[in-house]
Amino acid sequence: MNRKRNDDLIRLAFGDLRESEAEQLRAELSKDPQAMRELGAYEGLRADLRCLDDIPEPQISTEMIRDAILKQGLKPAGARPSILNFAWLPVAAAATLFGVVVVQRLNTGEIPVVTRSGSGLVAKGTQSGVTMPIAGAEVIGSGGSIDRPLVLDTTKNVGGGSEGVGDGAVAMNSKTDIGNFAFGTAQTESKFAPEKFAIATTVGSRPAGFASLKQSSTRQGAEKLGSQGSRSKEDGTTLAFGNGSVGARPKSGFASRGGPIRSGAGKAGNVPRPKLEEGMLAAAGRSGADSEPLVMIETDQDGQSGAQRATEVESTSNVLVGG
Amino acid sequence: MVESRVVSLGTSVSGRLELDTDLRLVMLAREGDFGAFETLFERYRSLAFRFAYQMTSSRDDAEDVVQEAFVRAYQNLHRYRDEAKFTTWLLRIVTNLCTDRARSSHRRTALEQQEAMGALDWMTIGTQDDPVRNLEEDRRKIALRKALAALPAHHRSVIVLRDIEEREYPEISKILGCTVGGAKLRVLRARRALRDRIAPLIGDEA
Repeated sequence: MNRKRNDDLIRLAFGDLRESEAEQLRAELSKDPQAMRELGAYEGLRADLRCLDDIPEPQISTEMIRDAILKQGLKPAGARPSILNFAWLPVAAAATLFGVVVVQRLNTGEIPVVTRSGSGLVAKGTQSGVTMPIAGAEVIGSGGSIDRPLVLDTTKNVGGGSEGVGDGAVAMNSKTDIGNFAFGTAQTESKFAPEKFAIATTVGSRPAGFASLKQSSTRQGAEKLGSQGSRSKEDGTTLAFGNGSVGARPKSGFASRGGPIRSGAGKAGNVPRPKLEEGMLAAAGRSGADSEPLVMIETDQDGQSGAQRATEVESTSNVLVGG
Repeated sequence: MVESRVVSLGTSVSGRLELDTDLRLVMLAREGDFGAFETLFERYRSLAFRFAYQMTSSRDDAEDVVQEAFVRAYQNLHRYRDEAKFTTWLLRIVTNLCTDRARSSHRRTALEQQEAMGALDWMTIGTQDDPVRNLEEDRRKIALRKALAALPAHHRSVIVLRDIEEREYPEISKILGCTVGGAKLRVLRARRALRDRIAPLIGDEA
């Protein structure tokens, strides 16, 4: 028996055919004993289904319904459709996804340290020592073996603030627990050779990361660091470091000759401003478990050639910097 | 001929009145008159329970479904569109709840039903005077219950609506949210599936 004939049988047995169609089909089926048997089975099924009427009386009462409604909270009738209540879901999902991607990229060290030199962007200091070129940027080196990524912000928000950073200043925001620095050199042509550099370090259990500014063009640029980052501007050397507004807990310090160790932490406007003597640059190193020495150097001018030279002032691997 | 027209007219008017009454009760309930909603509940709780019981084969589950259905109906009264009958809308809620419940606890329900049916076999009271016919009727009924319970929820719901509750196809289509033709097709498939399931249980090899 084919499917169509079977469907006709079902319709006939359950009374879904019109009277004329039913009569015609019955006449056709009367010659087919198997079809008649099948028709009888379906008619029996229909009768059995109608007998499934042994339904108990419901015990649910009006009071139960009232309690259930009160328990679930009465909503005002005519409330707006709840589509807006779910509108935040895609936004939350997108935000979560974005967060996951950012965290993954941070953990894999794909975010490079970026700074701006006189001619363009310079990317360096990726977490794993692998530098990543950035559009329009020049990769000048690895940031060393830091275990967290560094983000060096050279656009508008130095240290999470609103002051701009111009040429000759570098600001580095860390989104993690490592030191947060913004530092740079504003070189005056008469005093410093273009190869001035500054090194900052983190202390404590966190390894250090560093970034150096290769060349700065104007002093004015360094001054643009403004109040958001600390800065020390003395005879053309500008050192600025600030804590970003990303909630980082800075553990950075800066060493200067004969002076107190200063912390580079702080919110906008409250960042300590270390004073540096002329030509003094900070030396960087590791401390704690890494046991790399902290080196303090001093620059002076060679009497004969007039060139700048660096002299090691002190070196230790056991200095606690930044309290 | 005249009599049939009068009957038809009377049915239509009474249906219209009932619809109007339901509509009026819904409107009152929307405005905060909980008594109106209680009247709707009193009027249709048996209908909802009957359907839920056929779908779940469990008194407790059916009562849970009915309670949940009326709570949802109350909370969503503003969504009720007046062109459909209140019972159609209510049965749609009950159907969805039963389907959800069946999907989430298919295995558990099947086991409980088997246990319950086995326990109640000895106390089944027949409708026939002849004990042998009673036994046969009970056997077929039990088999039918089992086969119905074993059907997927979407098949079971249309069988209950059409062949047990004897709802018309247009209403079934509104409850299921499909066309009348689609409802007929679903019913046909469900009957075929039920037949396939019950045949081995009653030893009918046809």
